[in-house]
Parts: sequence; C-alpha cells; structure tokens
Amino acid sequence: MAVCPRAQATGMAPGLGLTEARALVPALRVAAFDAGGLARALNRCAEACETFTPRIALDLPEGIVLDITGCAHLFGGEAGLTRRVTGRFATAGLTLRLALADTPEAARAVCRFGSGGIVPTAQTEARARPLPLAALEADAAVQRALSRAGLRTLGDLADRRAAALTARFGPGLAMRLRRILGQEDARITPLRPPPLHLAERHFPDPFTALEPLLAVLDALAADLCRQLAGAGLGGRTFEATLLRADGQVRRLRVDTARPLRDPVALSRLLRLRAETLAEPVDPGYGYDALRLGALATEPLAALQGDLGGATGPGRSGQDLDALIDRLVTRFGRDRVLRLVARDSHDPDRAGSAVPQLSPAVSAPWPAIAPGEPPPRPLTLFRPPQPIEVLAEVPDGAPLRFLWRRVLHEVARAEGPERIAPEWWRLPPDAAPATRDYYRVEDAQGHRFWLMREGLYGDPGAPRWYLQGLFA
Amino acid sequence: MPNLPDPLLAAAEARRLAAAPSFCATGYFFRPGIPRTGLHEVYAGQAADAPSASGFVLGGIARWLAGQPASPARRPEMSRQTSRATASAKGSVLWVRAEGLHLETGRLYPPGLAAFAIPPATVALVAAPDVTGALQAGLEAARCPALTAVMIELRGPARAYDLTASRRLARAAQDSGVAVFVLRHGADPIPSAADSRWQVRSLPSRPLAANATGFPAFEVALLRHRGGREGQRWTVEWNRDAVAFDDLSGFGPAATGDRGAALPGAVVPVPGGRADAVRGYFRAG
Repeated sequence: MAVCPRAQATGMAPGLGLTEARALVPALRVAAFDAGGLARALNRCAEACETFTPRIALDLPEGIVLDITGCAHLFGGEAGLTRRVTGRFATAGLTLRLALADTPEAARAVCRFGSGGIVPTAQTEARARPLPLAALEADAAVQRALSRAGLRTLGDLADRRAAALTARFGPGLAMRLRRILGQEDARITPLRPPPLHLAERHFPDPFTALEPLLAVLDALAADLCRQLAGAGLGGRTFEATLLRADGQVRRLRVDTARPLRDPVALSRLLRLRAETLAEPVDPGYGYDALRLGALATEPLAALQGDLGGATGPGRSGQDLDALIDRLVTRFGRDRVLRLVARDSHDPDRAGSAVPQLSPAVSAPWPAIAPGEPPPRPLTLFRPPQPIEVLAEVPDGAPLRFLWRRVLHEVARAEGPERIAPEWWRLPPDAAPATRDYYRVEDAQGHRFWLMREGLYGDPGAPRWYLQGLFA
Repeated sequence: MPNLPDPLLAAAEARRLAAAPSFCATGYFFRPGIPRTGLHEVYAGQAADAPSASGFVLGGIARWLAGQPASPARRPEMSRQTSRATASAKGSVLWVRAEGLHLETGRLYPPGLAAFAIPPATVALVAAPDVTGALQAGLEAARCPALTAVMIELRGPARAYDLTASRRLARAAQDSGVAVFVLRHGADPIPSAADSRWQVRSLPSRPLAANATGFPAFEVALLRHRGGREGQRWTVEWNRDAVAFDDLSGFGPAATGDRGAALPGAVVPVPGGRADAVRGYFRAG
C-alpha cells in the first residue's frame, strides 16, 4: 500500500509479496494490519491540522483535505502555509505529499497522481490535463472502456463532447472531470462544522502558564461578544479550542440557559469550566493558538438597563438563569434537571426529569381532587424493587411483605388501582401485563406504593414489586 | 407551654424580612417564631423516614409559595428568552441530591410533588456527583436571592458537611434571604451553625373509609433552635387543600411502644389496627 523512502531505496514497491520483500530485506519484521489504529492515527493527524483551519475532512484511506479559504495570510501566504504543514508532519516522523488547488478534487488529483505542490488559480486546468485517467478514480470497467477507446490523459477526455460521456458513463464521471479541471466547485463536508462566529489568536511563541491563557480567553470573549452584538445574536453554546504546539487539541464547552452576549459573564463561565475539568488542562509544550466560537446562537434584542442600575424584582429571572448557567458549567449539562410531564397514564412515563437546557415542553400536570390523600408517591424506584408478599387472592391488598430483608406488617391499605400498559407502544406479539397498584402503610407509619404485575390465573405467577415511597 | 415571642427576635426578623427581596406575609417556617431565612437541618428519625423528612420540608415551602405576591409584569423580551429555561419569578426551589440517593430511596417522582402543593415547574434538580459537589451547589444557590428555598439532601455520614460548611451556608442564607435546608438520613446530628435543627418521623395516618391509608402524618421534634424554642414536639398531618399542617396532638400513636418520648398532654393511646375504622380526634385531659 505504501513504502517509506528508505524502503524505496532497497527496491520495495507497493503491492510486493512477502516472499519477494524478504528476499530484498532478509531481516524484515512482519505485523498484522491494524485498520482501527490507522483510522485513529488519521483522526489525530486531522486534529493536528486544527491550527491551520477549522474546516477539515478526511480523505480516506490515508489523506486529509483542508479548506484554507481565508486562512493562508495568517501563515505567510500559501507557500508559508505549505512549509508549516510539511514541517509539522515531519516533526511527527510522517512523510507527506501535499497539493494546494482551487477545488478539493483538483488538489486530490494533483497530489495523488501528479507531482503535488501549489497550483495557481489560472493554471488549474493546465496542470490537470496531463494527469492520467486513473485520477478519475472510476471503477475498473470504466477505466478499461476508456483506455480501449484510446484515451490516455484527462486532457484527451476533456476534448470529447460532454454529452457523449454522460450518455455512455453516466453524469457522475462528467461531473468529476469538471471538478478536477476546476470548472466546477463543491465545498468539502468538514468533520466538525465550524462555528459561525469565531475569534482566534495565533502566537509566535507557545506559552504554558494558565494565567495568560485565561487572559487571552477574556480578550477573545470580548471580540466574540462584539461580533454577536453586531449581528443581534446571543450565544447558547460556546466552545474554546486550545491548540497545542505538538498538534493536540483540547476543547472547553459552555452551555447557557439564556442567550449570552456579556463578555464578563462569558469569561466567568469559561474560567469556571477550566477550573472544574475532570482532567486538568495539560499544556505540554505550550499553546500556540486559541480559538473561541459560538456554536449555537439565538436572536437577542438589546435590553435597556435601569437608570440606577439596582437589581429590582424584574431581574430575578436573570439571576436565576445565571445560577443555572453556573451550575451547568460546573456539573455538566446532564446533572441540572427540570421536571416535565407527559400525557400518559403509565406511572413510569407520567413524569420525568430532563436536562434544564433541553427544549422539551411539559404537558400540563394533572390536578388532584380535593379531599383526596396523595395518589402518587414522592419517590419512585426505576426499575421497581422485587418483594415477597402475602396477599389475598385474587386482588386483595397485601397483608405483609418482605423488602430488603425487613418484614413489614401492613396496617392500612387502599387499592387496587388497575393500570393497563399502553398496548400501542409495545411490539405486536408482546403479552402486556396488567398492573395493580396498592397504597399501603405499615405498623410503623411508613407508606409504600406496591405493585402486582400480572393477574392470578395468567401464565406465570404474578410478581410483586415496590414501586415508590410516600412521605 | 406558653409561646411568648422573643421581642428581640421578632424585631430582627421584621428587619430581615423587610430587606429581603421577596417579602411575603408567611415569613416563618412551620410555626410562628421560627424565622424562615437561614440554615435549617432536618434529620430523619430512621433511614426509612427519609421521604417523610422531604415531605415535611416541602410542606413548609409550599406555604411560602402559596402566600407569595403575584409576580410583576415581565418585559416581552425577557419572557421570550426565559420561556424555555427557568421557573417563573413567583418562587423557585432548588433541590440538590447527592449521588447514590436514588438507589436507596428512589428518584424524585414529579407527580408526587403535587401532593405537597408544589408546582413541579418551580423545582430545579441538581444531581451532584458527591457530597462536596452537593455542598458547593447548595452554597452557590444560597447566594442567589431569587430562589425561595434550597434543599440539600445528603445520605449517611457525609464528612464533608462539618461546622465550617454549615457556617458558610448559614451566612450565605442570612445574607441573601434564602431558606436553606439540609436533609440528612442515616446520620447523627453534628455540631453545626444551623439556625434550627429538626427531627421528623413518619406516623401512622388517620385511616379513611375502609381502612384506607390517610393523609401523611409526621411527628416533628425541634431539637435545637437559636431562639430558644428547643424541645418542642408536634404531631401533624399535612392538609393539601388548606396548604397547612393540621395539629393532631390529641390523636395517639399506634400501640407499638417504641416511638420515643411521650407526647405532651394526657393522651389515651388508641391501637391503630385494622379492626377499628377510627374517625376524628380523641381528646383527653
């Protein structure tokens, strides 16, 4: 598949058999091909290119495509950029072939089948024409057909009428040819979609201390908030990308409850995030670039402040939002929850906790009739806890039950409340089990919600569970 | 025992209430004379009384939410921004639960909150990874005056909750006017800077027709109080419709014998068994 320059010097080439390779180099070491390891290594290389541009795509099996529109000036022009990229991979011990062109397909064709290098805009077609037909990367039957027709290079193919090619080989081939010649352009689909609003800084020398890092993040936050203010937007999700000099990338993510445009609040949340990371930020050889982007934004109108600046009762909603932001930043999005109802008579689904920042809308909560004791417990076990019960057949309330090795004598009981499962949600051949719920109280005064699944007489003995605890 | 209000306490309470951002008429917790702002510790009598302790605190909070003044008219931009995110400005409760509680007593079930007259939309839950995280979350929340109450639920001998932590919580609660509750079960009371310390036990309820389980009944003991009202005990039943705790001091406990100290007043213990359908109170003496 590939040989390094030293191996090439001994006479090896891709596609050589093992016996022949051993004949060339007797002391050859053989190892199994690790496809997963190769994919991981390729992803790490893609990540290492984050300093150059946020738009990176993989060009399987062993290539990377960078969209450097508007990025070249940061590195001293296209020549400087190619030098930096080659140098970065050389320090990692990788040899690479590089091509820079107008369209992704042209760059790929020139890199793999041509001589590589920078292709100036005006010369895209001129450089693409001498490439062999293999640059189209069509399947073997098409290649055979084209070579039998006497075509050798892309230039020959381009001179033919496009309508004839489309009629014979389909529209895909003609489109690919147009893209390689630079007549048509299509953007790559990046691995991670770049943020719409971005502020970044590159440094000539890498630095390792944490304090300057936070100071630069503050400055980036101010830049980004100015951009958002200009667009009339507030950010809901921010991501700070810390790019190390050796190519490793660390991302800090901050979610907020309300659209945010205040640089002071954003800096505070970023600092809180940096301090509460599970693994502390490891500078390694230092950071040489920082990027702060707003991944999700929402319209945010400008608010008029009070003349006195004092916080009145109308601000309490904002204080609460700020508290939620801080808690989400400290503990993570999934640990700060709110309660939503679902319109379902199945107790398991009737109420649940969802992340505070999720957009789920709650159905109206059912009301309890006046004069009724609590029909539902304060806590629920998911999954319900199996218990052993002594009860009257067929639907008497339990007389006593054993839970967690403690025997409870039932003093008061109410039930059964029969809740059938939602048959429309189960697979067609499932046997739904009816559930009977009992509110019982034991001799000490603790109140439980017990459940019997299945009726006596159904195949399989009915099973008893403890579903919840009342106050 | 006559309840003479302490004049200094009443004056300090009036000052604090007037300065608090969300002033409401019912400014006490559970009984008049016990100021609502500050740190309150609630211990469950046994580990099995944990839901009762939570229910007791929720009942106390519900009385404040019911007595709140209506929220001021909000600006339209704010309503669009906060429509998805947070509870309304009427009153909000933050409930912090330490990790592992869901294995012992189960997860919080939102329809059960309605039984304590708390709208589930006003509650925000934090599932903290450990006791330290729970205390940090509680402290941050205690500094936010927009909240009505903060509940921190801890399990077992939480060593991170010590005198220093309680002092910090108490000071934050006093400054911002938030009521902070620390609920503990499976632990013994430790020296702390709390304004009041309670112990809650679950009692057999007054049965309804056909010996059905009745309304939640608790035995509440005030173990320690800054204003000096320690040692009082109450037997109460939660009345959701009136959003109040009804006094049950005339109604005796079940004849199990191991319920602790006797209740004040001469009481005829009534065996709360399945044989009698008991209605109403018995008053003796």
